[in-house]
Amino acid sequence: MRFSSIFTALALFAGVLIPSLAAAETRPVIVASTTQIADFARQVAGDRIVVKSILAPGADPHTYQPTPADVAMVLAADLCLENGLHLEGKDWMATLARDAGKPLVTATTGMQPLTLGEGDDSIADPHAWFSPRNAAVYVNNIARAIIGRDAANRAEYEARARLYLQQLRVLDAWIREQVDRIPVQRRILVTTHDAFNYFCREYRFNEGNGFLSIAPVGWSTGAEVGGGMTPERRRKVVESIKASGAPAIFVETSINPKQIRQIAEDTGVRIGGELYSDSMGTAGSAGETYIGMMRENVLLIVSALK
Amino acid sequence: MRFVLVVCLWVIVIGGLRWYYADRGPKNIPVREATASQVAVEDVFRLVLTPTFAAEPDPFALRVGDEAAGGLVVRVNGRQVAVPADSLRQGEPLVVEQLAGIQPGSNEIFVEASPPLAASGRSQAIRVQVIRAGQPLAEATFWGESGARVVGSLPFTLDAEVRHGH
Repeated sequence: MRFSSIFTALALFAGVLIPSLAAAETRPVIVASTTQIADFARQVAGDRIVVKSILAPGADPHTYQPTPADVAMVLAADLCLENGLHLEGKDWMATLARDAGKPLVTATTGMQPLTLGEGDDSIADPHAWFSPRNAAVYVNNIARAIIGRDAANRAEYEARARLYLQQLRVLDAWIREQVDRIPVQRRILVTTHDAFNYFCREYRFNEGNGFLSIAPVGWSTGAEVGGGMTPERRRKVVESIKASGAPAIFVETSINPKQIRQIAEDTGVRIGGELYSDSMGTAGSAGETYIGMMRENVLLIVSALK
Repeated sequence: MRFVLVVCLWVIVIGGLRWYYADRGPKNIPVREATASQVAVEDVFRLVLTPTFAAEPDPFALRVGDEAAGGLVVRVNGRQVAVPADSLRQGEPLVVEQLAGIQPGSNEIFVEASPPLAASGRSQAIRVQVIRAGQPLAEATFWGESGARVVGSLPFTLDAEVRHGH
């Protein structure tokens, strides 16, 4: 009796699970460098394509070191997606795709990036997804790449992309409506690193800083030009907080909160909460999608600053 | 004597009014010879769009091919009608003459318009009217909540014996 039960279970396993695994393997695979890009790709691809992200939720793309498992993932991919603008420190995604001989699409292609710094030290800010308008550019680039490889299902991909773009449009309007609750003088956004320039420019935060981020760490947490924390940057941030009377400052999910906590102690300003920045939240969290992470960030910012 | 005078005045006023209406009716008032569904001339349809906003190109539009990022899409029974988005102005009726593609039986007109993002804080609307032989055949007003595109479908039915002018 017991033997027949085990046999039945194994037969069910073989009959149900194995064919479904085999079916999954026949689907094309997209490998994205970041969680945001993977989410955009999933919104367009639906279940027709397997979408994987190299970065895990909470990981930092600037300092990430690819692993052998990442190499294997890219080797099995039909298409690779990267953010570009050097978000992936030392262009690790481009290197992985090139070494594996896989096609690579840069999701920020065609965008007008914000330029940080001046002269030879100027850099294009890679955190473009913090403006939903730019997120629409990501989605269009990804949709174009997917359709280019599976034209037979074009109508389906277009329909999904169109629906998602509508959601991004509503998200943008919703953010404007929420931010409007913060008095203009209190729209001061201080974060750990310079990730929120596009957000500040789009929704008019940090007027005293030319509507750009105020952060002790530069555009990258790595050692690139304009990245990392310098004593000069830290001093400027402390001065900005004191001069502006910022009611709260924020830590980021993908970066060690130590520096911003020290600044909070030095300036007597409270921590307003933890913002999703370079990657989204874990599965099951409110920030596990792009729209979710933007929504939660905005609610936190409005709650702390209004 | 006073009573007779009142009766005479009453007869003059009422009689005059009656004579006026009896004379005016057949000569001056245009009479519809038939109901809209029985018009004996070849049918010409017009589409009138009256928005509360000026449409503008949508930065959130799908751009995967050579499609325009138009702020206005009009489809008659699934067939796109060329209507330039910049002709849709706030409060001004936009008339599409000789609307093609309307068939006897069930019809549907789809309208999608993109209000300016700068005005995303308030709801927007567009009134859609189908005019046939000068008479409104179908109409509806589509609303878009703050930030959303204004989208709607206007279904209407046309009697099968209608002849078409195009």
